Amino acid sequence: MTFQAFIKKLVASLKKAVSSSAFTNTFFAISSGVLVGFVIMLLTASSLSNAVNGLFRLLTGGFQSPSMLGNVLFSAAPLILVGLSVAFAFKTGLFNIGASGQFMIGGIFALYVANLVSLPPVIHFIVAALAAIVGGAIWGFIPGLLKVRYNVNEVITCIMLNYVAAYTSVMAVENPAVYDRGITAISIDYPTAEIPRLGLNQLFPGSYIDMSILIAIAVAILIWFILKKTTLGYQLKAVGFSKDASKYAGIPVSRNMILSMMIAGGLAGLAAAMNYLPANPDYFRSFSQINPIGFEGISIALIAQSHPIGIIFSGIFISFIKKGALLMQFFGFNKEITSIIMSVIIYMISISAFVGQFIKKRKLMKKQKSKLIDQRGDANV
Amino acid sequence: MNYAIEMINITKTFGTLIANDNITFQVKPGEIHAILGENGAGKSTLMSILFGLYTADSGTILINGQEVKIKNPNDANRYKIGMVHQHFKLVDVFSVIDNILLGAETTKHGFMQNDVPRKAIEELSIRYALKVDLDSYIKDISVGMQQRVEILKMLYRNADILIFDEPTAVLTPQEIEGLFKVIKAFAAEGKSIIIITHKLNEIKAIAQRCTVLRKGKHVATVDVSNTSVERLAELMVGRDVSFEVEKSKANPKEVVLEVKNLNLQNKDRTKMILKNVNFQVKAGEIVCIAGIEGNGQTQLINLITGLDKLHDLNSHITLNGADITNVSIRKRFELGMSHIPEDRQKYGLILDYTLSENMISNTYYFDKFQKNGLLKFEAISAYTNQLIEQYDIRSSMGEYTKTRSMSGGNQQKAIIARETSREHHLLIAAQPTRGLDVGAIEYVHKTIVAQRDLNHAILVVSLELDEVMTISDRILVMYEGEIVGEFDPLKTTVEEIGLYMSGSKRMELSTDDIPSIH
Repeated sequence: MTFQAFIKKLVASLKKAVSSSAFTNTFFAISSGVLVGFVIMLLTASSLSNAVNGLFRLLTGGFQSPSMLGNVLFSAAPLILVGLSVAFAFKTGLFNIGASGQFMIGGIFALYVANLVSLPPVIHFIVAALAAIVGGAIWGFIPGLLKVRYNVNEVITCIMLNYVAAYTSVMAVENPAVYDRGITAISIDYPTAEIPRLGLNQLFPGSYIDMSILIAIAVAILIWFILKKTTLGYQLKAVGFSKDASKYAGIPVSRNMILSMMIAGGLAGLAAAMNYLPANPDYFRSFSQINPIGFEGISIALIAQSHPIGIIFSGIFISFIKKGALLMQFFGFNKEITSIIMSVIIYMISISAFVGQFIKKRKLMKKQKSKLIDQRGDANV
Repeated sequence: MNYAIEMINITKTFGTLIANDNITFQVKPGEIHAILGENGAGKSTLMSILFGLYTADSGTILINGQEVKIKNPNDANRYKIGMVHQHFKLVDVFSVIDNILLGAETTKHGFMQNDVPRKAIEELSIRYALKVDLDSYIKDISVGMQQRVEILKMLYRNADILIFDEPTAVLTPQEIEGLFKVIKAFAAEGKSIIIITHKLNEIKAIAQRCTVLRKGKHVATVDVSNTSVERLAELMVGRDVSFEVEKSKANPKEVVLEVKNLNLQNKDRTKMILKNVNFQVKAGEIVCIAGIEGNGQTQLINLITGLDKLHDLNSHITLNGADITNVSIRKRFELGMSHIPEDRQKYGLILDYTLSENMISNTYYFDKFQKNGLLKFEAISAYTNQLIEQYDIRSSMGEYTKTRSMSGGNQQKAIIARETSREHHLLIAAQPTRGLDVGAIEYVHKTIVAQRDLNHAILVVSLELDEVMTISDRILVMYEGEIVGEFDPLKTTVEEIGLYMSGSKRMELSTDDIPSIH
């Protein structure tokens, strides 16, 4: 294929994607979310111009400098992976509300391997990331097993395991060899386990960026490939669509459900590795609070309607809005207000995805009805 | 001429589907009027509009010449319209009398006063010979009695217009006869009766006029007495239909499926669902299991196909000599079992998958369709298109059609295509024509006979006696979890089988300790 042909094909497929209903829905969802967010800004801002400035900052903050953009991409990586975790379980008919717990356990596994094992650079990172995947997968395995063996609803198990994970992290992270709690609130150095930066920090100077975003994108494509092209994906989706029909067809339903939860857990675990292993990581929350990233993952999966490729974009979008919200503080919006605005936007986006579909359906019905009346008119003539 | 009911130019759409398209329908007082049509022809929708479950998009309804608006079933009750639904609307854990009174209770200071209504119901019950036990719970009584409860419910509300939706689907031939007597008595009193059905013989037996619907449109209203069954079928389907399946004599060979001492208890171990079931199916024969719904046929098929697990240690199922009592469903398929399930939408198809994805649902892991875990889309597509061609499966987008959007008949064709074109020795078909129209039934029957002629063993479960008589080479009758009779279809009658189905007769089939009634 020549380069030109490739570009032509790319443009055509982009056109198709933009004109598709999923895109319209998402667009409608995001704009309505921002609109409601703006109404709240108007209510809380000191003046109209202040609110407009705030909105402007919210929507452009992520672009304002290369370092900002780098940071948007940097914090998008774990969000994308958690979104994939939720979406993957969705595809198998399971609701993984336990991504937070899987993320925390994955984080503990990653931190322990990073701090207590000594290996050469890069290899150390790979081993730590694999450990995080294993940790998350174990945390996903438990609700999966309980679901198929004892018919316990995975939502309940996941919520409870979130608490178990939170308190387990409190206990585990207090180990002074792992976490330097008292002084800096930033985890101690483990340079060999750091995520390689691949020179991306030169592209976005001054930012935290490393190859985690590339890993997240590659994993999203891998998940898309698995779901679309492999027998594994075929089975998982079949079980998700209909357990009875899958059972009838001889597809091992229980095994696939457990496997799906394990893969979902593993993805959340990998997200934790992306979150805790960079050179400048977020500090590990060593208090008994559930990390909210799992719930953000649900929004991300919803916005993208569980499409793995779409999740790359919705993950970056959420990261972008979060950074923009942070910058709004310079315009006198305090931290709480910005988090309310951000939550409202995410919330609106999540519900308008449904509203958009509803409106589309109504339109189609009307169209059909008028067509019917037209036909009748013709017949009478 | 005065009509009791007139529905004029009724149109009703659901989304993009036109369920009723400008239908006009009139019933005289004292008339038994049948509504005939295939599935999806709009019969039930039309009656639901009359009963107030749906409101029409356009059109008018006149009761005894007065224009009325029926917005809900309470309105319908006020205009003395009663309906017996195909699936009864009864509260299982309430007694019969409570169900009859539900919504029309006689109360004093907020307390139920059941003495007066009880008398009234008893009188109705005697007058129309509708025998019910007022104090039993619905869950404990037979389907036939449940239907009588529904009828009493209408009568207690003084209904003059009675709608029956597929009233004979769950009854034995004897019960059907009883029902028809009652219906005729109602008509003689001047009540107007509407019967929704797709059974032509019943229309001939009971109705005076018949309105035929096809694809939401009114086709004709005919006098039943001077219209032949063939003509009715033609009006309903829109083309000629043959009722007889051409079939040579069976030539049974080696045993393919053998069921030995099959026993099954219900969940709380209080009742036997299957009692000591023994039978064989040989290559090249069609064995039909006849019986009324709920006598253990579903459980029997579930055990044979592996959908349910068997716990009884003395029970054995063998396929081609291999013991399959406790092997996985996939293993059973690999050993040569094919299964057309009773519930095609629950089990037969993954409705949100496309036609081609469904065509490989139990063979996707074969080397033919995958390599190293990657699906071979070209092979799958070619295979699907070959089956679409061969079995004439019709859908809007061919192999890419979501099976949810296909018609019932084509869904069934798709399942039959998948199950009969994969390598197999045994074909199990549970109610293969349930809910299908005459044209599709004809097709299914021909396919099943063709399968037999390819020397496959065929086991069919059917609730339709006509079907059993048409296609079987051997008939087994099930009653309360037991096989109570074995017949040659050429040497028996529908009436005789009906007696066994209802439990009033049984054969000594084995020397076990089954007590004999006759």
